Amino acid sequence: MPTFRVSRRRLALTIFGVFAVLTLFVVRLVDIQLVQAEELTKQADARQLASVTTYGTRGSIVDTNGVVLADSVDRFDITASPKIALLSVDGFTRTNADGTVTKVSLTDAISQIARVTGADPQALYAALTKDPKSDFAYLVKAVKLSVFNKVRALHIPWVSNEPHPARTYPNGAVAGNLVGFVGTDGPQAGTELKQNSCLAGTNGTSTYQQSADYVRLPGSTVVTKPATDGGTVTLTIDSNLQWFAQQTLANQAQAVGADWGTAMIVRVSDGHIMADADYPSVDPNDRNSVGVDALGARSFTTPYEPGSIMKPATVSGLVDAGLVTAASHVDVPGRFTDGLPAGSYIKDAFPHGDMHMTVAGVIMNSSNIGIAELTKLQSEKDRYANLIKFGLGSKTSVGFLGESAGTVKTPEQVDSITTVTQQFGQGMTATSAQVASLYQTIGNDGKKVPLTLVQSCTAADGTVTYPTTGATTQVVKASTAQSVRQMMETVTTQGSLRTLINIPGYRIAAKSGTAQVADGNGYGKDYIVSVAGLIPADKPQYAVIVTLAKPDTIKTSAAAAPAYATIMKQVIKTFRIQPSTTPAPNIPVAW
Amino acid sequence: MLAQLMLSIVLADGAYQISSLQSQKHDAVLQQHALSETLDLYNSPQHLAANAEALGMVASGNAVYLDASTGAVTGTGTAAGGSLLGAGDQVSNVLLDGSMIVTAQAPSTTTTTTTTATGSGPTAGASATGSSGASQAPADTGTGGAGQAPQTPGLLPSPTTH
Repeated sequence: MPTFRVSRRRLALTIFGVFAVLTLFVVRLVDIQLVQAEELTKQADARQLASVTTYGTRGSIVDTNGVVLADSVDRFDITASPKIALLSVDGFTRTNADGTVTKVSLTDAISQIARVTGADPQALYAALTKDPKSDFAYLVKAVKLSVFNKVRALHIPWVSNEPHPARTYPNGAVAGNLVGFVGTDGPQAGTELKQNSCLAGTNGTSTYQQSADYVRLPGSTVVTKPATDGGTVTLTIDSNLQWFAQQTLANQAQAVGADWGTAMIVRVSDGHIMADADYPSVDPNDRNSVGVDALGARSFTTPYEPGSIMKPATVSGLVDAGLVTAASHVDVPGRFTDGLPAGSYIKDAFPHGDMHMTVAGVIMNSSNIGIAELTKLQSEKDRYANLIKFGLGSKTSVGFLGESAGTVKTPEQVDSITTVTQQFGQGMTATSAQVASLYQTIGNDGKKVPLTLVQSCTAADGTVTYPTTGATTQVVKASTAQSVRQMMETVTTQGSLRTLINIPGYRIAAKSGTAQVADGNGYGKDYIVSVAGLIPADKPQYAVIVTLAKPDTIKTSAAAAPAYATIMKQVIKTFRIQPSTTPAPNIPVAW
Repeated sequence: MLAQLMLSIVLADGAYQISSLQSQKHDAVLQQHALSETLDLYNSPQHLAANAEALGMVASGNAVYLDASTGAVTGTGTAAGGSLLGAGDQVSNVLLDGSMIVTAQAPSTTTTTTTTATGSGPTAGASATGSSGASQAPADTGTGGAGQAPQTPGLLPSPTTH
């Protein structure tokens, strides 16, 4: 009996023991599989899963012919692990390609890196020893692939690298004013900033399981978020013509000592800006090459009093209203005083007595008094409305960063002098782009097509979007525009600049401007001079406008004329414009 | 069991192959980027103009047109326009340096520069660049255009083109 009791007790004890162990296991199982499951999976993933950032490349900016103006390029930061590098001054052993083994000491390694990267060995050593315990330090930043490959070929075990996406502008300052640039904090100016939504790519992440030697396990790839590349922005600019315009403008600006200048070439039929040169102009690769005020495009941002180059707009309004024709007679006295405050008068650039000019003659002679006499024929309200219709006083459709709208005074704001003077471009302001738009309108038979700088945005998947530029408006009748162009042809054939701006074989409608610059104290000794032209005059294809501010040696539009003529000749060559087959009409300029 | 083992070996081997090929592709893409970056720089107007002038080329004058159907010539020709970079390159490009400009070798005999060689566009280039052009990409047209023509500097190659 006692034996039986003992064995029963043992049995109970054993069963109890078994159950206790089992319970322990179950509890542990529940703990691992359910309670700690999430935490443990995370730990396992961290050991096995690699999460890699995949970079979406920022799109490029190209000209109308596909020439790259701004591009994303691969650069590499050379990094190192000081902790490993400083383990031993004896360095490491390198197995050469031919199987031989060389010892490379720390100083050898540093001098080798310095040699291939062009860095200062002292600086490299300093970077390594700055925090000897650290596992990470930058040695050289943003090196090119060729340099990077040389560093890699050194097979230094403690050297590593990081990709460093960068931006380059292979054409330098060509269209730098329009392209803008990207700084360390992202796009900062020009098209880079304005079109950032098209250009920017988005980075993605790619997660996969990897083996101990970093090879992706088969079938384990899980792309959690794909990277998308940015789109390509196509400008309307012709980079070769743009270069020519910038070169010519800069040469002339320096020759006459101008503070700044702009040159614009606009295709008349669709308002595309083929070239928009600024002087001085930034090289986006080197933002410190020019002053802060030259980082953008003055042609859009800087309004000025354009002067006589505005006269065709005023005359267009008068002709369109049926008030005058090219041959209408105008009595032009030596001074204009009607309606002005006592003591004030308007004069012409050249002194003269009473003259008999036709309306064409007023344009040819660029007579302020002639325009002033003509303003009597039209109400203040209508004259103002005419300037506004040509786009003056409002920004162009380009919407360039920091673009100015210029100013035209309303009939309510205007005083008795400005109401007259703003009809010949004084007392009002406009940007070069607005002046270009005015000449585009006259060249396009009165149809104002919104100026366009960005032609399209091509997304990475190939879809093309065209920016909305606004509606085309008929500002004046086609016959009006043709008549005004004929008047402007007399500037080329008979005007004072004819020897400078006439191009044999071609009919060109042109107009010059020599505007006084207000210096806050009335008008000073400085001028803003310009010449605009439409080629060919009978059926214009291109408008060219050259403006120079505050030239020192020549203070008339003759300062801008040589650059204008040179650029016009290049336009002829670039776009293969055929010589005119009919002569310019002989319209009278005097009576 | 054996089949599964083999399958898994093949898969693993493939993974290494993929990894290696992807790294090769990555390197090739980087190489392509670097080369097109250099090409874009060579293509810049500043570089082309400076090299063209270094080789003695000048801008053309007014364009003259020949109407192929009537044989009529329109337009008023003018003398060649001369140097565009006379006052220096005004459009800066810090990426370019002087080393990218070819040096025109003076002809060893006392003959001809490009101006007297009018009418033979590509061959004139060949005579001007001669052997110096071979190392520089933009001048390659010179050697290409010469064909089997004699390479003696200073002598105009005999015309082998149509």
